[in-house]
This record gives sequence, C-alpha cells and structure tokens, in this order.
Amino acid sequence: MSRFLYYFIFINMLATITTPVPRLLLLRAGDGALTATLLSIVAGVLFTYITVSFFIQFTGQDIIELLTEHTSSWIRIPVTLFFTVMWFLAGTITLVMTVFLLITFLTPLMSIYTITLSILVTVFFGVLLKSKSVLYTLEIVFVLSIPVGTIMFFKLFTSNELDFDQVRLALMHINTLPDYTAFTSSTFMFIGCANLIVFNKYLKEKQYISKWSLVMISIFGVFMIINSYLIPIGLSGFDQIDQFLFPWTSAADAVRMKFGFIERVVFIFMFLFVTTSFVSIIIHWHVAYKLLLSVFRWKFLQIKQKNYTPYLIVLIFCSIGMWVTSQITQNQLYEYSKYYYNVLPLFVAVLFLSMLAIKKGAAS
Amino acid sequence: MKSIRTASMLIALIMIFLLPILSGCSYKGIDKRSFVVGIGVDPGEEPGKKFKVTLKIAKPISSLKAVTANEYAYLTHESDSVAEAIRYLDTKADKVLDFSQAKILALNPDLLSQELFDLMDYFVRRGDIQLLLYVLAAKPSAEEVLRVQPTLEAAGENSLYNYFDETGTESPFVTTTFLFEFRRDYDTKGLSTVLPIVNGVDGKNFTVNHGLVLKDGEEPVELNLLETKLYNSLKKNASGFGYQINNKGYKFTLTFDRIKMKTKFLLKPGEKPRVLVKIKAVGVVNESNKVLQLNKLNYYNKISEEEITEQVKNLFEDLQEKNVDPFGFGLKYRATRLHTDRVLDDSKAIYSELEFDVKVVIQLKSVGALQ
Repeated sequence: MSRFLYYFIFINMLATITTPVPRLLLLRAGDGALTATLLSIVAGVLFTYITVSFFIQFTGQDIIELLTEHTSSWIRIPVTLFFTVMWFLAGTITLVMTVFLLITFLTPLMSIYTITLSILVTVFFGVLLKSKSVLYTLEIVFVLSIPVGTIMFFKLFTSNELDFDQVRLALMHINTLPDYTAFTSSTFMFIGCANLIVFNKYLKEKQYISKWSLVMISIFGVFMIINSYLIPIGLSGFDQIDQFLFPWTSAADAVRMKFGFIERVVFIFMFLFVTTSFVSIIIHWHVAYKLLLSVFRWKFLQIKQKNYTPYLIVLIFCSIGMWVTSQITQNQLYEYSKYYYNVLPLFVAVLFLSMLAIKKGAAS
Repeated sequence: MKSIRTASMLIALIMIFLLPILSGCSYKGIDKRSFVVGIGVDPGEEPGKKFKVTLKIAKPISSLKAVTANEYAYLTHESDSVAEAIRYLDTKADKVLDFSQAKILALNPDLLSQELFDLMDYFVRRGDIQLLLYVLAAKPSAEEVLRVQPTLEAAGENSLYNYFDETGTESPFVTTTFLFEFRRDYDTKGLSTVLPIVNGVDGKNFTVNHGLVLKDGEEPVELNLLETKLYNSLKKNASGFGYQINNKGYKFTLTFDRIKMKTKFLLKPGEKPRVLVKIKAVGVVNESNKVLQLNKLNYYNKISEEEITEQVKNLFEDLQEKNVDPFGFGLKYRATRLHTDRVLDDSKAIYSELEFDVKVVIQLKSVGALQ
C-alpha cells in the first residue's frame, strides 16, 4: 500500500477527536457502545480491504473517470452528487466541532465569526491546491505531528490519575447488545481510505495490499478507540460520563506535565488536533469539490484560458460552512451528526454497488 | 510581463484588505488581565445568601529582585450562586478576571455536608477553569486559608501549590485531589472522594495532614493522621517516611519505597461476603529503640506486618461503619463482574456487610546504616 493511503486512514482516525464521535460513543457507554466499537473494527478493516483491493485494479484512475467510462450518466451524476454531499458534510462536521472546541476551551472571549473565518481562509486555499499538493500537505502535517503526538499519547495513557477500576467497569459492559449509532459513528474512524475515490488518480505505482497493512490498521484503530472511549472513562468516571459535552478534551485537560513547558497538556493536544482537523477538512472538501467539478463546469465563468468554477464552488463551501457554524447549536450538532453517521451504511452500499457496476462495465 | 503586473496588483489588493487587521483583534493583553490564583467558597453570612466567594488575585511585580514578599488582592462577595458572585466581582476589578491560572479551590467544610453538585457545577462547566485545580477543605474558613501569608513563601511562588503538585514537599500525609478527580469520585457509585484539610494556623502557616471523606448523602468523615497516611499510601501510592511500629517491645519507624494493594472478592453462597486485601510494601527501617540484627529481618517483617494489618483492618471497618468508601470496594465489585441490572444494588448491599481479610507482606531491605 502506498504511504499516502496510511496517512488517509490514520489522519481520519486522529481527526475523530474533533468530531462528535467520542461523545456519541460515550453517550451509550453503559448501553452497547463497547460491543459496537469492537464490531466496527471488523467492519472498518473489511471496508478498507474491499475498497483498496478494488482501486488497485484501476491504478491511476479516479471514480469519476471510471464511472464515465463504464456506466451511463444517469448512474454517474446522482452517485457523484451523493458522494459530494457526504464528503462535504464530513468536512463541515469537523469544522463546526473544531470551532466549538476552540470557543469553549481556548478563546472564550473571541467572536465565533473570527474563529471560523480564520479557519476558513486557510481551508479555502488548501482545498484549491492541486490534488498532488494536498497529498504532500497531508504527508508533512502527519510527519510533523508524530513526535508531539507520541509524547502526548504516552502522557495520556500513563497518567497517574487514570482510574483502572473505571476502565474495568466499562469493559464489564461487554455483554450488552451493540448500539447502532455507536457502531456507525465508530466505523466512521475507519473509512479514511474512501478518499481514494479521487486520490487514486495520483497513486501511480502498482499497489498491493498485504496482511501486515491490515494488521497495522487494526492496531491503530484499536488504539484510537481506546483513546476516544476508554481514556475519557478512566479520567472522568463511568457513571456521569454522558454529562461531558467534550468528553475527550475534558479528559485531556486532566493530564499534566509536571516538568513540561506547559503544565496543562490540553493546549498541546488542542494544537495537535486542530492541525489534524484542518487537514481533515481540507481533504474532505477537496474530494467534494473535485466530485462536484466533474458534474458542473460552467461556461460563463470561463475568463480567457481560466475557468473560475473551482473558486466559486469552494467559496460556496466556505459560505455554507460559515453559515452553519454561526447558526447551529451544540445540541443540533450532535443530533444532526448522529443522522449523518446513521446514513453511513447507505453510503457504503452505494459505493460498493457503483464499484460492482464499474467492474461489470469493465468486464463487458 | 502582464502576469507580473496582475500578480502585483492582486498582492496590493490583498494588502489593502489586510490593513484593518492592523488595529489588532479583540485579544486582551496581559496588562489588562488580573490573574486569579485561588478561589474560596464559604457559606454566606448574610441571611438568604448561600455562598461567600473569595478570589485571591496576584498583583504584578516589577522584578523578582525588587520585592521580598508576594502581594495579593482579595475580592469577596456574597451571593446565591457562585457564578453570580463572580460576575459581581468582575465589576470590582478594573481588569478582566483571568481564571486560567487558578489552581486552588478552597471549600469550607460546612459546605461539604450538603449536596455538592450545584457547587461544583460552575467550575466544571466553565471551560477555561482548569480541571487540574487542587480542591481542598479549608479550616477554619476558605477566606482565612487564602489570606495566609506563609513565612517561607518566596516572591513569585505560591506555597499552597507546592503542597499538592508533587514538585515541592512530598509527604504521605498530603492528599492531592484534582477537580476532575473530585468530581469523578464523588459521582461514582461505590467510591467516595477524599479532600485534604488545609489548616491555616494563625495566618502564618499551613498544616496539611488530614483528610476528609465525602460521599453524597452521608456526613463528611474526617480521617486522623494515621488514617490519612494509610489512605494515601494504599490508594494513591504515596510513599515516604513515618510508619510507626510498636509491637513486642520494638519501636521502629519504617520508610516504604513501594506499596501495592490488590483486592479480590470471595463470595460464597450462605456466607458473609469477604474481600481479600493483599498489601505488599518494600522499605527500610529508619529509627529503632533497640539494636537490630540484619539476620533477623524476617522477624522484623513479621512484627511490622502484624501491626500494619491491624491498623489497615481498623481503618476499613471504621469507614465501613460510617458508610463511606474511599477505597472504592463498591466500584471494585462492580468492575469485576459482568454487567447486569443487579450489580449496582448488590455492590451497595455487599459493602455494608463485607468482611476484610487483610494480608500484609512487608519486605524490609535493610535496617539502615546502623545495626
């Protein structure tokens, strides 16, 4: 597997901290979240295996080309639009959550518009980068965050105040039936490789998928599930965990570095996760914009040799993002993102069906 | 050429748009903030007022060489809720009250016998107050403890911090309870939280060597010196000086490096529930009233074990009688069996009739530098 594929998968897992996933999991803590997460590891690895082994057969082609080549346009357009919406919403959820995190913990006095705007300006240019440059941005951010991330996770996992009895109590709820929302939202962690539908075009070398890569993905996935589910329970207690609106950040706030530069580790964590969420938004919106561009390319925006449709599309994305961030309440964010995660199985079904259609078209 | 011109035009345009930003953002500089270093909550003195909130605010100093002692300002207000009092205190200060550096939350013990949820609520709800706040029970009152100016305090430091952050004094008598821990343990069924009691003696010194066990719906239980020490060693893995043994004519003081506690429930139908508590401690002898023989270490182990077993057992039974559970036997019970609807109720029922089998293993490494 290409190293970029690992980055996609891992960044998607890391960025779940700045999505509502930890809270949605912890809301069902006594009620089937644990079994759901275990199931989601299996489902996620299976999804990765199927998707990657499909795209391996069509090296250097993205799904837009494949759909145009092998299917008719009445399949292509609705499928592309559906994917656009899914990817755009994934980015928007991360954006809104990041802004809420910043305004609650870092800059409670700052206006919500200023915060959103400062994120969106960077995202605007990030999304408009060439796909290849997006890949390199991803690589740089990922590599740079490894040292900080390693230290931080080490601190988090070896914290003295971590109460293992609470963790054990959470593990004792393994005999509950899996919860649907908990399952879909934790599966969201694993679907980073779905970004291949656009980025496969730029992975030119012949790929192959090995057992080891699947093992590595599962290990990292288990690690992230422990991180987003068991660590908050260990630090904030099992019985009242559903009262925390940002459970993971509150848990990270409970970790301190006695002799570090900053005693409150949460700020370094915030730095790390705001960076990864930036990249995550850029990737999601980049995919959405590429998909949308394959459907719409307006003639009237053609000025001389340059077509300005991409700018318009990304500007619309940013405006919607801004509007949503300023309008939505925290409750709505959790409610709506619950719907989003619940729709994920439909997305997987559509993706697999279109893969099947492409395969049939390619075979005939 | 043309492209260069368009590019420069574009850059110029962006520059013009960036001009208004030069006026700065709404971020308030450090000179416009006053840093709260401690928050104290007492019961209100006026009728109808529930809380009296005291804020300890650090005064800026020009340089560490120029001053010999710290100067603090204190703001006090009585109100029905903590948030309201702090909002009112905002109007007493000309600068923004910045809570991000606050590390002390002193609570009057009189407040602790009532329900604590509405008291804690404000501190956990505010995102900019750190969850790493040290919570303490302040005697005689929170305000007096905040107003103590210890003789040993140097300029630019806060001696109350040193007690709890394990970078200064490290003593098995000092319990460190962070705000998140306090909340977690208080909320958990089958566990009680323990706060350190800080005694502000005559405005000049602190003594921190007692603990206060809190449980929702129960009266607070004060731990004495020995009990506080045992709690800190067994539950918080604190180690250090000062375990007195007085058995069979020997009197020693032991220092432990490591203490470990393991519990196991033994439940047999028809019998009283029992819990096996295994404690392992490794240490050396510090002081003795008799000459000690190196080859008799096993004997010293044995007499120390007997003494500590009794102390621990007494502590457990005493706490059980008062229906508080700082060691979390109820939680341990819940955490060792698969979840059913009955586990929670069982854990409550079992704790009240639990019998403790305490087994202490002491491993003395040496008798010190002297026989």
